Amino acid sequence: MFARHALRRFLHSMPVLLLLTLVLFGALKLIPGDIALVMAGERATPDRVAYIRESLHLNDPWWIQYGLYLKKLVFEADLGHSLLHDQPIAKLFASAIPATVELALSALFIALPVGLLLGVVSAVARRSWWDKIASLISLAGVSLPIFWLALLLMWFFSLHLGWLPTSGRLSDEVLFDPAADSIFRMYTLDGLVRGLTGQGWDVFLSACRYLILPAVALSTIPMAHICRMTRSALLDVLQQDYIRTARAKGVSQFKVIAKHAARNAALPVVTVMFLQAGALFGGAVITETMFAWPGLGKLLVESIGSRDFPMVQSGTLFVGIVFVLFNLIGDLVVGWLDPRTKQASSSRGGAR
Amino acid sequence: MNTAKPTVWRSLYLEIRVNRSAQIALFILSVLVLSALAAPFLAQHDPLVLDLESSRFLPPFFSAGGSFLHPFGTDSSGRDVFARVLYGGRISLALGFLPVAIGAGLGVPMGLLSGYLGGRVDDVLMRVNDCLLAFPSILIALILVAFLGQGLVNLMIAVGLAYAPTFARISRGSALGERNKEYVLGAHANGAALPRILFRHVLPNILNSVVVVATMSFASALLEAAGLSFLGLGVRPPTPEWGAMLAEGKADFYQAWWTLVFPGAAIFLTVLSLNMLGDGLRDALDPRSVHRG
Repeated sequence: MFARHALRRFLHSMPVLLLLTLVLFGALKLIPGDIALVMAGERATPDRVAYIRESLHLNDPWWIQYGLYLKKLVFEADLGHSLLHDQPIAKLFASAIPATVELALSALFIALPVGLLLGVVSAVARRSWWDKIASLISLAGVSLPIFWLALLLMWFFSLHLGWLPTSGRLSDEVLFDPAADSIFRMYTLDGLVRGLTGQGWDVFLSACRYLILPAVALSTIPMAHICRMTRSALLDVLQQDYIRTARAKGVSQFKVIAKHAARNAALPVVTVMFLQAGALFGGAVITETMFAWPGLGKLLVESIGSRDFPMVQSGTLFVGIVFVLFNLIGDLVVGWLDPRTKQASSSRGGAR
Repeated sequence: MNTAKPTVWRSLYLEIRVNRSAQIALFILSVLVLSALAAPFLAQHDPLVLDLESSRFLPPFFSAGGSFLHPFGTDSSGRDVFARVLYGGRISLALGFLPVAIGAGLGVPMGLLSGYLGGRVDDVLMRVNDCLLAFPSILIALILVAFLGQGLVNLMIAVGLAYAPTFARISRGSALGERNKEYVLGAHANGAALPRILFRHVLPNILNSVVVVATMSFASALLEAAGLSFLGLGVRPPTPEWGAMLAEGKADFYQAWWTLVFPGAAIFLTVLSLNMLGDGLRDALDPRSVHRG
């Protein structure tokens, strides 16, 4: 039953991805003027323009171009060639994706405990000063422009106090060559492995020092959402009869929250966590650019700025696939946690 | 049956009368909007005039060496930061408001139609819509800017299109709820045309939710437009816009913190007030939300 439901939802998301490829393909056609000229730039040689025109099959009719584009994507897993970096896009992704994942996970690692704590405190002590302070923090979290917060953090912790670096992922002084020594392409994990295997903790410490400011800047948005959701979900649950029964039986406050309420309040919080994947990436675009963090977001912004359209196409498509998958997994997890939504979503074709 | 239902404005007034944070938010917003509108009267300097010789990096009035001639100080080109923040407010506020208008203008009719017609049309439209909703709107805007090209108008269109799915989703849900109510069936039986049913009969009943979503979207659209300008993909310097000002000030923030603090604080205050107001509106207008602060 569950497997069938999962398969059904998976198949439902296929047309969406197909549509996305069509839109991305069509978007290239919308650019005014000769696209090969636009992409090559004003000072390109005729050879370069001809090369771009040839490599994009611009001399063929559009349905053939689209077919070739799809064929390359699906059957050859060929993401194309970046014009800006003059490298295969897949290779650029291979180093950028782990960087973004590392940053996003660290941000969640900060946001989750803080958000949960603030949410629980403000729900339990409803309408107290604690509640007001927690609400204000979460409101500020969604309202703070990440780029401004990042600048203020850099100004205070890097320039004023001189504690933390402003850009990059690793200090030059550390004896670590990412190209050769990195296993995960996430330097904190690499450093952790090296530390645990007795090769010293310098890589780990350096990676953490570089990671902390971007992660804090990025964590504000998911932190605020988790806090808000936890508060309202917990308030919902705490009003219910079985909680009153538990209290009447003399169960302690801590036990009521931790054992009786938490399980039922977890559902909306888990849902929000999955939906945060989108917001996290949106934030990562700005955070990575600010802190020169070599991830997917920075790659995408650079490629837009320099009109590297194959990169824009493939980057967007990749992010699209990830989002569709995350939504799917989120739906499935929620359906698994709460059987009621499963029926509702399969009868209404994925409507939430 | 509907006689006891208060109008949008009436319930707004009643909520704001008791909601302290909504009052504060409304006050801050009014000050920001009015000062942006009155920029030519309040600012003593032209936001674009350079003065590279005598007044580079003058500090704000409360710092040593500052004066009320340049209340917020001057930037690296000797331009008055106060004037730039005020004039920038016109562009930044418009960059929050107009995209929301575009998004609502496209999304609401689409959602109404989809929810009212139901069936196949609804299935297809909403599947596409769900797909778009899965993307963070800043990413959609980013991609649209990539293909449309940069600039003020394209930025507005891009952010506006990115918000259409949100409005479509909310109005579709409401239209679905209204479509089998007696007043709609009655209008249909009377031979009312489809647009008339949708806009005259269904729309007024879902206006509440649209207003709440619009306020929240105003906040995030402003934030995103400023972010895109900051990344150099929206409004370009020297045009005074809060995000673009931050991008310019980034280079010299160690020696002139005020070039960053004032435009950034303006964005933060505006977005914070809009979110506070949005929370208040939701409490007042959306009967489903039961949790008051």
